[in-house]
Amino acid sequence: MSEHDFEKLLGGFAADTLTPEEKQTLYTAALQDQQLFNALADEQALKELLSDPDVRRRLFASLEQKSASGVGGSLSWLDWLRRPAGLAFAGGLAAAALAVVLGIRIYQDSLRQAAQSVATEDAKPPSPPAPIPPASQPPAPQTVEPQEKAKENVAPAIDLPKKDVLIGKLAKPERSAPPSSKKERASDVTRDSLKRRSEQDEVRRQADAPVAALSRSAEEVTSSADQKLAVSSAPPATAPEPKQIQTPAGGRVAATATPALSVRALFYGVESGRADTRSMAKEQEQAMKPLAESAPQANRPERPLEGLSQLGKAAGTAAQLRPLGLRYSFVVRGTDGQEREVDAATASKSVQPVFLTMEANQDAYLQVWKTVGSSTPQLLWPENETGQFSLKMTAGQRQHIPLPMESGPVTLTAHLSRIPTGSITRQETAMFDRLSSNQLQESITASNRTGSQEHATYVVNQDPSTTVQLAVDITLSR
Amino acid sequence: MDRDTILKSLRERILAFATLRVSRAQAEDLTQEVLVVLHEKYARVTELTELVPLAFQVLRFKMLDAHRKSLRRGEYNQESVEGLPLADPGDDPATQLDQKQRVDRLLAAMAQLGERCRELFKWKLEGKSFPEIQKLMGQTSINTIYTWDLRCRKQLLSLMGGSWE
Repeated sequence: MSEHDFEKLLGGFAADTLTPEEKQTLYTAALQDQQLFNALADEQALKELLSDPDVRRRLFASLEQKSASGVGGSLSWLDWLRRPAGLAFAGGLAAAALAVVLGIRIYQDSLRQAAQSVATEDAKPPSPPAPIPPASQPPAPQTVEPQEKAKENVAPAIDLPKKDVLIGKLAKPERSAPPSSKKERASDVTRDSLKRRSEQDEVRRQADAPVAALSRSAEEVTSSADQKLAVSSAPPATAPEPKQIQTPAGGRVAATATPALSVRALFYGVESGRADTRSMAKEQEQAMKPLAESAPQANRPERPLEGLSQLGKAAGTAAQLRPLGLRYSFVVRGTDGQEREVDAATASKSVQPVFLTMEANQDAYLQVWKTVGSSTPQLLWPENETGQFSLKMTAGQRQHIPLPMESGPVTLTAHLSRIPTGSITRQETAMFDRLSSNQLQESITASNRTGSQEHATYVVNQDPSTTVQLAVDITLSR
Repeated sequence: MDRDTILKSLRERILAFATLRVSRAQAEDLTQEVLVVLHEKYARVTELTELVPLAFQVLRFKMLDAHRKSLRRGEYNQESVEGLPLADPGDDPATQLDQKQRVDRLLAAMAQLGERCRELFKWKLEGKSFPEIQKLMGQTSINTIYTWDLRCRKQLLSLMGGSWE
């Protein structure tokens, strides 16, 4: 036995309960080990106490009494707490209770924060639509069957009036804008519910003559597809008002890719990233709406896009960072006092007062420079009386600017930006070309059943930054 | 181990133990007195298991006698011999009070022990050996009883103030 083991026998020495073998072992070890001998000598005092029968009886009675009380009932809480296990259990219980309380509080806080964030999310304007990515995809293979190509062209043909332009048209970027998150979509639904409800009502109204609309759309689609594929097929004779495709009046080359959506759709903020068919259907409805709405507004030819304009205005206030867009057109006031949009050639030859209408799809600052021949550019808008270099345009509101009456070639340079523009030099105007790498331009000539026509040019810069600028040259020869 | 060998070992251990308590000279006197008692009065005790505990008991008595003698001689507090009481063959009241206080402290300390320790001490006071206690407490290993007893005895000693005196 080790020294530690001999110590265990000390208790038996005092109570004199050691067996003969234990005694022999212990005493032999005590004679060899001084420390054990000292311990036994110290134990002698207790042994002397316990050897007294009276003391022994009293101790035994005390222990019996304690045992009886312990058996009869549970230990008092104080005795239980004195034990190490009791202390550990009580401490663990307290820690667990504290953890539960803290956990509940943290959970409630997180719930409250989540509710606040949802409320804030609802109050916040929707995130700007993702810009259409630059043309990085190779053009569709030309070996596709013509019918398939026609099918591919169905959507844009239905979406929009016939379009042209889009210089640098080979590349066709896919609609790869990331789908909105669930929250954004939910907030969009909440925010635009009323607006969309009214749109749906209008669509239902359009559905009153579904057969005619569908046949007309189908014919337009077919016509568009045929034109694009250069297939020699006669234009549909039943098309009441075929649309013409024009090149832009200005000579500025901007776009390097043909977007999936038209520039006008971008101007009015139609989202391009929706993947689900329901959203796609809504886009089609929105895109088709101007065609249907233009009918009852025959006396206001510049208003066929009022629905989309209002839509764009509402969305523009909600999403300031959507692509900056500018719509301009030439308006001639007829002898009857009514205004109608004309193309650039007509405006150049018109002897009646011609106005240049400018409309931005969001609040922006506009300035228009006039360059006659090779002279120094002069600020045409804002007028000198204002003392400002650029005037703020409210989204959706059209600004009428009288065209200069000088004869000869006149170049108007419109400059639109989200921030006020200062004085500008001729060299800086020349630099506009370099600013417009993401700029798309599209001229629209659309007619409707009532005879009103839209002759407008849409220019959109897809750069989503706040410092984006948009510049367009408008050349006239009066 | 014969008796002379046991006594020789005992002498060394007793002298070392007494040296820790008293001076070297007194320790040698104390050791000699213990051995004289063992040699003269308990000459027939030859077993180790009897001789060693007897030596512890004699040693304790001799140390208490030496303590009383020093007290009586005024070695601790130099008082005149006239002021000291007359000798009594029985336990003096101071000794009786001391023992009574020690018993009270022991009772109080035992009352503070845990259930297992009290149970263990109860078996020991009944004269049960460790193997018997092992069976009574339903333990398979005797070492468990040894360990429990060691812990209980240390706890009791701590509750007693670190000394059995």
